[in-house]
Amino acid sequence: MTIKLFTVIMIIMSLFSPLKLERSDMENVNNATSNDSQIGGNIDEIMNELDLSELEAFIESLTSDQQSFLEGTAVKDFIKNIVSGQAIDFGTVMNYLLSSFGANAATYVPLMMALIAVAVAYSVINSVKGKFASDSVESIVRFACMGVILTLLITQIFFIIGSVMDMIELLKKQTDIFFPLILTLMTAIGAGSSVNVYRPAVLIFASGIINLITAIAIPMFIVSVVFTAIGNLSSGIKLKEMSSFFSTVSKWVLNTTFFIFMAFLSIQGITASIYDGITIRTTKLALSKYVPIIGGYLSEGFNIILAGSVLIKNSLGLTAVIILLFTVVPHIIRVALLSLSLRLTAAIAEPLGCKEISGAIGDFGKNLTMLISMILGVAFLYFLFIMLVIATGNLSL
Amino acid sequence: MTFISGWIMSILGIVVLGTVVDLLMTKSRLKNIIRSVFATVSVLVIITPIPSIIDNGFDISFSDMIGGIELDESFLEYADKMKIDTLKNAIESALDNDGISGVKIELSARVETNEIIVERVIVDLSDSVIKDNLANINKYEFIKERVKSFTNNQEVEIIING
Repeated sequence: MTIKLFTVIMIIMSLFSPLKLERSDMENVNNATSNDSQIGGNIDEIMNELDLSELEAFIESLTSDQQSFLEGTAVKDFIKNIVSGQAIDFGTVMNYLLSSFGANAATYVPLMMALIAVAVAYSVINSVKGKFASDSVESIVRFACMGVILTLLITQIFFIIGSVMDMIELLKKQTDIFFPLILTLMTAIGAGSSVNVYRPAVLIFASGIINLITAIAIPMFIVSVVFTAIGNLSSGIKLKEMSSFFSTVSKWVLNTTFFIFMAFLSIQGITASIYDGITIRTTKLALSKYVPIIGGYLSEGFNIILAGSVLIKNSLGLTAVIILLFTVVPHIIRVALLSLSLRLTAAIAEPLGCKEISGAIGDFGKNLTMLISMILGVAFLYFLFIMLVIATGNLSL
Repeated sequence: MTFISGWIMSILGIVVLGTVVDLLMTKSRLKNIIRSVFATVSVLVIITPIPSIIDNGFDISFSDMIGGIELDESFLEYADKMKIDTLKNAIESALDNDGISGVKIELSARVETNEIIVERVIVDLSDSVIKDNLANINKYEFIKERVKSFTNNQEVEIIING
């Protein structure tokens, strides 16, 4: 009897449980849809209230290639697309990177040809002079050839330094535009402690670290390049070690500053965001605790406001990373290609018997790696900073 | 930067002059002496800025750091208003749930970090409809208690009109 009753109960339960499950699922789906539409409406409202005019003006000032990530959409629509999960197309990024590589690959061919031509001329003069010309003539030829080579190289390197300075200025502008927006949204969601940590950090990054690069690292790089040139110009005065000294000091200064900045920022940022997360959760808990039935509604209302702001903050961060990619990568490609071209030229000149010329060109190629590490370092620091702000801001939810 | 360019130009000048003299002179003992003199002068020119660097240190201007990051205050005001409106809507919905519909609430409040500090609540009952089952209770006391429960029992001035 008991077994039969148990079986009947089980059958009835099995008949109704799917129905119940479906109902609860349907309720969940309905709630989710209603929350989604509420958040969607909330995002539109927040986007309209947020002052994006500076960001729009900044994007307008970029070149058409650098703007290609927008794919014809307005900035606000682009941010909304990211919020709704339609992030940038990977193909667009790859196309941009490849076209940037293609555009710069051919730029250095004339320079390479000119350097090789001088090396060939030097080699030919040396081999045909025989016993007719004295050592002084050889020295004068060497001096003249080296002068031409150094003029060509220094002109090119100073042009590159100018473009790197522009890039760093652009990065500073990006910091000045994106961080106030992101920190405003963080303040709105109640992440006050994190904002208190990040506000001075942004100043240290935008003014301190960028000034350090433009006031110390780049001048040291210039000094290192000039010492390399002078050292190669004269056979009597060698300045190779002096050049290497400036290069090393610059690397140490940058690496130490980057490490200290990132270490402090990570520790303080994470600690502050956990504190914010706890206070926000406590507020939401208090709302539902004090007002048993409607408190849930109030807490939910808060959640929707927070969710909208957090989503916009994250998509602004992602937009900043995309713009960083589109503004920095061409410069990295340009400097890396110049460095590789010079090393290739040095390798080609070496078998011609121009040991000094190939050595000088190779030294410049090595020097340029310092400039690449400078760009990569500052771009990576900016990237990490943005990612840290995005990640820690979400702990508040 | 001007100081660095001046320093580099003087080194470059010495080195180029030394190289030209070296090229023009024939192989002799004097040539070696002149070469040594130019090398010594170059070293002196290279180390010239060191004493002034030790005395004064580097002068790096961080003038941009004075000031601060300006947050969008109008947006923050809007966000606070949104939070206060959420509380206002919650009180109205709660009263509606309790059987008093059509109540209009006006809040005088501010947001501090994550907390809404309510100073005054004005309850307008002029267009409200009260269900029959609440006819026998003191509606003013009931509304005051309900409103208080939303303000974390802070000391709030509650004014009921109508």
